Amino acid sequence: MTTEYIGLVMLGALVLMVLSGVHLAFSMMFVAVVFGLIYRGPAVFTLFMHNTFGTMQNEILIAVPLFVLMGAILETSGAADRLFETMFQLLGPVRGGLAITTVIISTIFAACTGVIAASVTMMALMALPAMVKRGYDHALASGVVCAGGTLGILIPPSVMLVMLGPMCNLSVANLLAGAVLPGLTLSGLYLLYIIVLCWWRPSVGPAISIEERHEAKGKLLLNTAFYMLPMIFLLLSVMGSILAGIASPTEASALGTVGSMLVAALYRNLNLKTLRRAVYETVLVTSMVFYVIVAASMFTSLFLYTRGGSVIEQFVLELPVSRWVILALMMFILFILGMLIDWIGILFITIPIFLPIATKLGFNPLWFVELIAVNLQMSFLSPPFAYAIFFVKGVAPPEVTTQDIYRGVVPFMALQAIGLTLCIVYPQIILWLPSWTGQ
Amino acid sequence: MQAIKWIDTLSLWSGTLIAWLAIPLTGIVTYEVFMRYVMNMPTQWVYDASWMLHSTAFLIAGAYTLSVKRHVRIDMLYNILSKRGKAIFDLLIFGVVVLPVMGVLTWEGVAYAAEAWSTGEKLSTSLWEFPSAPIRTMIPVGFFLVLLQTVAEILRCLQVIRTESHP
Repeated sequence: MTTEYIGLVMLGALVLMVLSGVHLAFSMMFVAVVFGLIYRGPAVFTLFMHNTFGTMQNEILIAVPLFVLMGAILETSGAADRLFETMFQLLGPVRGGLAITTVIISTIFAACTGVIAASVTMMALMALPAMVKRGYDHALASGVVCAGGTLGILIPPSVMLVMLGPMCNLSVANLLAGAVLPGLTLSGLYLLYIIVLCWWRPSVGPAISIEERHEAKGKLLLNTAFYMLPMIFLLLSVMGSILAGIASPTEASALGTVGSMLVAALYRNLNLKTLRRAVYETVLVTSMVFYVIVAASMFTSLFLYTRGGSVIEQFVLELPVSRWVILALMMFILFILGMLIDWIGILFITIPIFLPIATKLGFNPLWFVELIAVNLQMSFLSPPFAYAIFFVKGVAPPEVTTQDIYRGVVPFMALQAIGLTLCIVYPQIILWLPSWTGQ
Repeated sequence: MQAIKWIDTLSLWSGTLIAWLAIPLTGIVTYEVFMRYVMNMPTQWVYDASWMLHSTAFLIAGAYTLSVKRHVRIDMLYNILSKRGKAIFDLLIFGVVVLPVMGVLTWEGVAYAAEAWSTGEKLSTSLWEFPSAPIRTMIPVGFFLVLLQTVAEILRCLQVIRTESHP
């Protein structure tokens, strides 16, 4: 057996193990150790230890725990709940107003959390009962929550994009910049859909009677500003300093964390209890992510050494079809994998194979990686293995059935597909902002 | 079983204590930003100190993460199994995959750290020179804690299989 095929067997073994339910990190370590021993002998462990040490020393990845901490503190700051309460009264009397509120808050908080579990659960707890109680269509209500919460992984600062930087040899600042407009495009599409749908069929998102508005409009506007502006200011300064090239993502993430503590203090929610919750959550997410990164560095270094990727690459490049067909095929494979495997697994399995192919086909690597990031939005919503649906189901009011949620996510998946197509047809959506940051 | 309890407690304590490193990490990176951009006197030590704080935290907390089932895995197949089925399935995964892998990686990690201790290797990315041995040691320590937690998970599975044997 030539070495190239060893790489393919490794890949097959990995996918099989992951699908059967072995932890992602441990399956990658296992495959790397077993094949490393067979193929290179005990000397392979020196390589693995160097891989581990290299991951530990990676400067840019220090932004991961800091961004997670920033999100966790903002999440417990109480800003989201109070923002929802005030915007709920403000926009409730508009058709579909609560769904609109949900998308707007999701978009702002998406920028904070960067990890999907937190944002989906938070929105489901806050917005779903309120919508169900006011007679919103259950499918629409749960679809909005799933799709809105999922934005967290895409809209910067997102942990996924920070991780992708060193993996793809791309600047994290550019990756973050490139994801801003696609993220806003998706949330714009969601808003448009809700507005049109509720105008056309008012029964799915009825306007609430004006009596539920307990306070004067001016007061409500003021409160909305009070709960929204500090967050937006914080996000703009974090993102702005990265995009302007003033601060590295790591430096900006530390300042963002300090800023999030100030925001929490402003809402009188900075204390030992909330801080403890935030650091525990941070260490859990960080440890999970970095065991995967360490394991992937072992797996990938061996996989590249076997040149297993080049077999696939050669095969694909010799296909007698246009490069757009290959792009569509890769996007389709990502979509299918998204039904089964979660985002972090998909990235580590597909990127070492897909990115070289895309580059050889003459696609811009930054653009291509952002397309993957947008595509992965669908993976959270696509059954049978849809993270967002599971989280929502876990906390949804009893009258919302699983069928409702499944029915609800379909239109949003279609909108994500439209968003992805837009990014393919108009690459400027992705490339415009990075071209301004001058990096 | 007493052993399961001890290991669970060890993982919980090590993980939740090490979690607080996130605060000094935030502190020193912020300090560096202040020194560099405001005082115009960038420090020599913050970069190295920050990756050490961060990697110590994630390595040590691996066991805590495992004990609260936060290492990501796909539970599609898993969810359709009975309680006993789940235990048998987990026993296989922890016994055949995780235990040997973490065992051998811990062992190799010890060798990797020992080498640094014996040669007294020094690292420097700036003017600040420091021995690499202590931070290298965090690799086997973290992996060993995960290994211990794996043993606890295996014992837990065996317990479930024994008590649920007559459904």
